[in-house]
Amino acid sequence: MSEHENVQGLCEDCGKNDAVCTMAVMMGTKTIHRKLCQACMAKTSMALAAGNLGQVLGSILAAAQGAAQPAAAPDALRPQPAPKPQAAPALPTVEGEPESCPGCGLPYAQLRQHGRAGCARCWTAFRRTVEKGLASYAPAVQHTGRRPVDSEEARRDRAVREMLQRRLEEAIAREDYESAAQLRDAMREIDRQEGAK
Amino acid sequence: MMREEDVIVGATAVLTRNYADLPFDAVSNAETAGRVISRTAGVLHGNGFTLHLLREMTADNGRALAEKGQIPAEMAGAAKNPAVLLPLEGNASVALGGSEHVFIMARRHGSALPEAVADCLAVEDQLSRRVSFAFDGQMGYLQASAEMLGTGLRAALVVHVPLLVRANRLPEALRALEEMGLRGRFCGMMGKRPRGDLLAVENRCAIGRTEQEICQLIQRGAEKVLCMEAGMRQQAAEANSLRLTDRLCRAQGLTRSARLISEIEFWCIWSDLRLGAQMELLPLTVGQVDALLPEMMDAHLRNYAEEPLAGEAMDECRCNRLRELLYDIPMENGAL
Repeated sequence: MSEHENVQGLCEDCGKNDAVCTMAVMMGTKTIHRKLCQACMAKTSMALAAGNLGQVLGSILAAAQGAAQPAAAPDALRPQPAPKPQAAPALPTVEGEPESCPGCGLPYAQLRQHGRAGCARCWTAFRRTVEKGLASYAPAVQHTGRRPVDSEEARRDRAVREMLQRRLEEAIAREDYESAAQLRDAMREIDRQEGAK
Repeated sequence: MMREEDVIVGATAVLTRNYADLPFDAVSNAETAGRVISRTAGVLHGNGFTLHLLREMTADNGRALAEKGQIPAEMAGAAKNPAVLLPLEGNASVALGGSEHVFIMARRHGSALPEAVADCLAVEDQLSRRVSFAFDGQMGYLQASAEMLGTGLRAALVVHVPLLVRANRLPEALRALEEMGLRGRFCGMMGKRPRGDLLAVENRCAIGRTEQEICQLIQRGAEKVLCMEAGMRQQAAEANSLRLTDRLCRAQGLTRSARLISEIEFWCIWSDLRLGAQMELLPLTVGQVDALLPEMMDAHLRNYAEEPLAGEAMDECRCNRLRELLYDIPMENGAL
């Protein structure tokens, strides 16, 4: 009898809460739909479970005959319920995409459902999906903002530092704190020289 | 006359970056988070920033950081091994170990959005000279969230729109923003009403526009919302000036005489005080009202009282602290 779907607007019973489901009742050849909030739906279900059909049908008939109270006109000095914020868009389905990311194993279905990647490679693996998803609301699916500092010197400095950083993380993982301290000092020295430039 | 800088409460900018060789699971994986912290703190700690691990802080100190906008709100509770680099000087903080590896966050008062973005970019410059972030020529800076791909910038102007809320004109404002490629987001909800009648005008996606273009678009969106709010204010002042003044004065009366103020009631009062100050109907300045944030928020109040306040004790403390901040009345002296 009740359908949970994308129901919008206020509950037609209490007129206060947001409707979350639609109740459909067949009356002869006519189907009457009532949008209800969670509390009123629970109340209706309880009334039906208790066999109090008259109470439920009374409110439905009143609605069908247009006997519901008209909504008050908006008043600039009275708080009105705010509209719901929009949900984040999920990504669309694109034929021919791999079943999972070769980098982290994230299933394609999960990426589409949440719009979130498991690693940097996900976006290359599922590029067509994200292109199609972003195209629906982005001005262009092409990055135009700032880019990483890309001089030869900057690349070299970063490469050396990242190599030291990886070795530092490995040393910490195997609890070799002496090597870790040496590597940390080496990195600090690079930073000091960089700062002096 | 409505001044733009009085209606725009603040500007926020969040710039996210990720390391290419680490999975995007730092929020649930303490080891990944540890690596992110080690790499980032290796560059910034001692160079204008100090590292703080959230697990070594009290829960309220962690929440207070979120209330001040120095870490994402979800990081105070959900992350396994979060940390923050707080600036010795300057505006931008760096939160680590959340849903993206690195969050560079800055907040400025009023409409200073380009300055807030510049604060974030300066820290990014400092980092990117030493470490490489995941980047793709087409997709820009690679992120966990598809919406942040590109510049990785989420910028917002927070506007105070009490009369748009009361006149139920927010859907219209949200539609206008959507048509411009922007999004309106409420800064929390109090029942069915946006908290403090605040609306954040922010970019919907981070790709296809430069950082500067994103700022300009948000400024245009905020101006549009402000025009709608200005129209409603003029209408309310002309049609219902006595009712409006009465409501605003009642709000100030509560700040002087109430003994208990719940959080929901506080936000309603705050919004009325701000409107009253801005329309020069109350003897307060917008700066005085804005200074109540984030001091009146739960974690700040518990830290101030140095007690694990809850229920009525929290409502009483909120009331007394409000008088202390607005009228310089010591907390122990109670109501006027």
